[in-house]
This record gives sequence, C-alpha cells and structure tokens, in this order.
Amino acid sequence: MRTGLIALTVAACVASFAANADPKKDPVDFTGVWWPARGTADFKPDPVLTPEAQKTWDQVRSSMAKGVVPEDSTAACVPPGTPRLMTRVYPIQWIRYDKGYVLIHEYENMLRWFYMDGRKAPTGDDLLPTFNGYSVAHWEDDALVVETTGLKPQSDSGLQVWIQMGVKVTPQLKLVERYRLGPEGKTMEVQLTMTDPDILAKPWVAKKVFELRPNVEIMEFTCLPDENVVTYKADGSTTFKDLQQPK
Amino acid sequence: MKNGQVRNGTTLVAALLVMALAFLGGSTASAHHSAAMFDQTKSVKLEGTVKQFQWTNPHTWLTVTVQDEGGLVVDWSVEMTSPNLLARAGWRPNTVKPGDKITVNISPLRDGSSGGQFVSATLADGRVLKYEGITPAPGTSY
Repeated sequence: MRTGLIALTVAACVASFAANADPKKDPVDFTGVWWPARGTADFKPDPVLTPEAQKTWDQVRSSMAKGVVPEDSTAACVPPGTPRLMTRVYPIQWIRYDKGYVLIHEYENMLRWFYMDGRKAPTGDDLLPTFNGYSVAHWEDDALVVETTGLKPQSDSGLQVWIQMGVKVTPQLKLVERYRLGPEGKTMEVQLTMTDPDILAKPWVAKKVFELRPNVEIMEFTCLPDENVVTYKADGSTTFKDLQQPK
Repeated sequence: MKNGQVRNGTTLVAALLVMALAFLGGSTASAHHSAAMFDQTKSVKLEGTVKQFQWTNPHTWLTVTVQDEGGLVVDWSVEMTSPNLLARAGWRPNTVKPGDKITVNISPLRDGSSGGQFVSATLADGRVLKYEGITPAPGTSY
C-alpha cells in the first residue's frame, strides 16, 4: 500500500512539474538520489540538555552501555520520525514539484514534503502531530531553509520517539535545516538546528553530508511488527521469534 | 532443544573461539535500531550448518546450527542488515541455503544468548560473504 502511495506521489509530481515553471527559478537544484556520507550516522556533537532531559540521557545511555535498549522504539517498527530519519544510512530521493520538494526515503519508504509555495505552517490545533512533522521551506541565497514543526512525540501505542537515543522528541521541538550543494553539486550539506525549551538547554546544531548517487534507485523497504524477528522487552532481555523450519 | 529457541550459550561461547578483536563498529552504520545489545569489541567464530537464511525486512537473519566439542547442538541467530543493502552488494535470497556448511564471524549478544550481529562469513566453496560484497572462491571467476 505504501508502495502504491509512493507511485501516486511520483506520478503527481511528474504531472505538476510540467505545468509549473517556478522550480526553474530555483538558485539550486537538489533533484536526485542522495546517500549519507560515511561516518555521519548520529547527530554530533552531543546536545546540551536541560537537567530533566539530562537524567533521561544518562539513564538511556547507561542502559545502552550495558547492551540494553528496551527504549528504542524503532526496534518495534515505530518510525524514527524527523529529525532521526535524517540519521538513517539509506538513500533519499529528492523530487521537485510545483509546491516544493518531496523526499522519498528508502528507510521504511518514509516521505517528507518541503512546501515552498509561500504558505505558513499550521498552528495550534490545526498543526496535526505527525512523525515527520510539517515542513515549509524558502531560499536564502543558494541555501534551502526548511522549518519543521508538529512532530509527534509518541506512537499511538505510547512508545517514545527519539531525536537520538536519550533525547526525546516533544511537541515543542522545532527543526531548521539549511541545505546547500557542495562543489560541482556532487555533495549536499545540511546544517540542522534543533530547539526545544523543555529538552535542549541551547540549540542543538549538527551537520550532515550526503553524496549524489545517480545510479542508485530507491527500493521498497518495510518494517512490519509481525515480520520483525527480534523484540526487546521492557526488562532489557532480547527475545527472538520462533524461526520457521527450513523448506 | 525446541526448534529455533535461543538459549543461554555462555558456556558454549567460552568453548568457542572468542577473540577480543577491535571492530570499531564497522557494521553499526547499517543498523535499523540501536546495536547496543551486541558487543562489537568481541568476535565469535561459529562453525556450523545453515539452518535458515531469512530474507526479511527490516533485517535479514541467518540461523546457524553449531555443535560444540561436547556434542551440544545450539542454534545461533545472527542478525544482518536489510535485504536492500545486501542486494545492492550482490547478495540474493539464495546466496546462503539451508544445509550449507558455513563459518560465520559475529559480534555476540552481550547477554550471552546464542545470537549476534553478522560481520562476515565463509562458505565451504571458499566464497567470502561481507556486507560490502561477495568475494569469489580463490581460483574461480564469475
């Protein structure tokens, strides 16, 4: 079903691209498939946290040091959500259409839309919480500045969504991304600035680099709980689903 | 032992070749979730027979049946990266088949269970399997 949604999205993008000339005025073109550069998995440096958030960090990190990570909701197939989605080591296809960019992430075939048609993000009750939030974007010289709000802190089943293990997503989180092309357009660099008065004592600024991979095509990738072989229980133990008999 | 059951293999781990190799987290980059449950400072070498290779999302799984010197037979569950990343490196769902004799290097689970994270494997015909790709057996060409 998700594949069908992507196919529809792509079809809609292609159709509307031809009908609108605005993208041609863009100072920079990010169209293409981008792969995270090696060594950029986590957001670095570590954040400066509020005292309460520091307790969560200490607890989660000390648990991870012992090899116990029951809190990692991605193991239960909860989407990582934005910003953590940007730390996944999978390719992302950027497609420009009349309203902005759509990003097709190979990781769980997640989608992000960057609206560049001048709209403002909804506020209050109109801002519906979603794993990847609501993103509006504009140009500042040759940088595409993307502002994201409306991020969903928990799955509907109550599992925590993390910016990075130990740093919670809250409804107050705001993400600003500044995308720029590198030399000859072969790389793309993004500076991410995260602010959240509840969690971050000062803005958390991280940088990531992506490499253009013209020969890579996005593949289907799902995470379905009933197909996930491993579960991490609340007591920290690891259990494996009974494996099938060889055929 | 119940089929597929993961049992405490602490003594078996001790009986197997446990080396304190420094891996520097070479395979964590492709992990779907935190890989903290695996001890990437250690390597366990499993010599056994493939019971199953599950080409499943978000992780592929290799089950290897290992018999130790005392005759104890244990199934080891080895977590691997996603089918997509393997496919791009040349792996296919039948690259490893039930019944294949195999030697697998893993980063073991910290809790001592008979499981771990895949590092590399060698098949009986000499092919070396890694995330980066498959090396043909010496003297062969594909």
